[in-house]
Amino acid sequence: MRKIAVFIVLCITIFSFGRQLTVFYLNDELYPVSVTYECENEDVVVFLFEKMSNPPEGLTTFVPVDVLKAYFIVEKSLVIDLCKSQLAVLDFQMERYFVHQVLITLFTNFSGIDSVYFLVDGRKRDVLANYVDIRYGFPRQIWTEWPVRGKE
Amino acid sequence: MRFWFFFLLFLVECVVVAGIEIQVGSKTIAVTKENVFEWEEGLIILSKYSENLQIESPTVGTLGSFEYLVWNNHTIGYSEVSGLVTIDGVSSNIDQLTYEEVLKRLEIPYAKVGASLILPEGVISSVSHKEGILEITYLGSFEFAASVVGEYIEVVSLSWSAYEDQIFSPGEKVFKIRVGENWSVERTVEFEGFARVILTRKNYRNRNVVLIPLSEAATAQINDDTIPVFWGIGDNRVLIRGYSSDFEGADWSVYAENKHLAEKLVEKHDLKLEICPLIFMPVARISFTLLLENEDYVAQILSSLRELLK
Repeated sequence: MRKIAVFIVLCITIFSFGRQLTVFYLNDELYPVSVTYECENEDVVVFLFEKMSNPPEGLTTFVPVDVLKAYFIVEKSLVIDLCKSQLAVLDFQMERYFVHQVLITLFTNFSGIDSVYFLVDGRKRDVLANYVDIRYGFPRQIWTEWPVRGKE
Repeated sequence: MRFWFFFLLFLVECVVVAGIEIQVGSKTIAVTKENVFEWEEGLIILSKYSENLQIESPTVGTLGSFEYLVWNNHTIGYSEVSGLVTIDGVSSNIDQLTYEEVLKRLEIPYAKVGASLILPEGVISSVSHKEGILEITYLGSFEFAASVVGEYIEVVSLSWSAYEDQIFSPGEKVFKIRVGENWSVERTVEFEGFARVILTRKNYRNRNVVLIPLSEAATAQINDDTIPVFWGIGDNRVLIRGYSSDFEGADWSVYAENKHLAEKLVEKHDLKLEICPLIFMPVARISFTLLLENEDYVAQILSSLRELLK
């Protein structure tokens, strides 16, 4: 089990050199817009969160700056530890779209990850900020596509 | 009179002198020569029991001629010179201290069957039930089976197990919790030291749809027989819960049905569909959250939903 985790961490580190990464932002209509970056940084997860919190002009994001505290991988799950004080600014809509934006970005860039779990300030919690249930894992199958469908 | 005195003395002697078998479930971990505590043997028994429950083994030490061990918040000391064993500050002569007495003082649940002392293979530490999910944390192996009997979920021991300091034999009912009518066990998902029993409603159709304003969602009492529809002001969308890999497929059927109903509403009322696990929406149950521009839409959508559920 530990070997698999070490292997995945190694893969993340190795593939981080000169790798193209896709980050999702939102347009005015709150539909996803993907932007591709060349990653020079050795820590891909940190790189993705940095990019997600700094959108290019004309696009928006609900990922606050410095929201990522830590992350680790357990088998095929990615556990993301978030900073509570940075999440406090999120309202009902922002909280949902934060989850969608982070999950679609992570699942798009890490094909070996099957589920994502969120911790807040290093602890397992019931809710992310106020509304989104983070007691259980978020599966790849739902968040490889944008989870909002219907009329544009 | 003298005969009875010697006869009783003989019986007492037999109890102490006769060896006993100590088992964890059906597995023998020690066969003692006598039913009195022996330091080295006791240490082996505690270590094997700890190994079985996957908890910390005893820590041992020596202070002069005094040996001691610390295990599970208990301290046992032994002085070979004085022949005294001290458990949590209470001293006894080692020749008179039976294994049963030691187990009692160490708060290890056991059953005495013939000449055997049986210790549990699995120990339930805590139990909680919420929204059709029973969560059990345990030590050792998961030796339990859950089933719904009437309005209760009953958990039966499959081997020797313990809960709240009581020991249960194979087949014995460990506890039951009222869950209400029409539930069945969909699946039991086991993790290390943790098990989740997922219940589902046998039939959700023809159930009452209950409208709950978002402002009351956190405190609303949701009856088991209802389909909750939360609603608030928004941009004409319907939200449903997704499924989670934590339930290993047990929530797929509810998700599929929930999504199917939501898609019908989306199609008919020109809404958006969003998948997001909101904390107030019950797990593994049909529910919806409507975010609508106009309060008048609520009645129309509820009417459509009721039609779909017929």
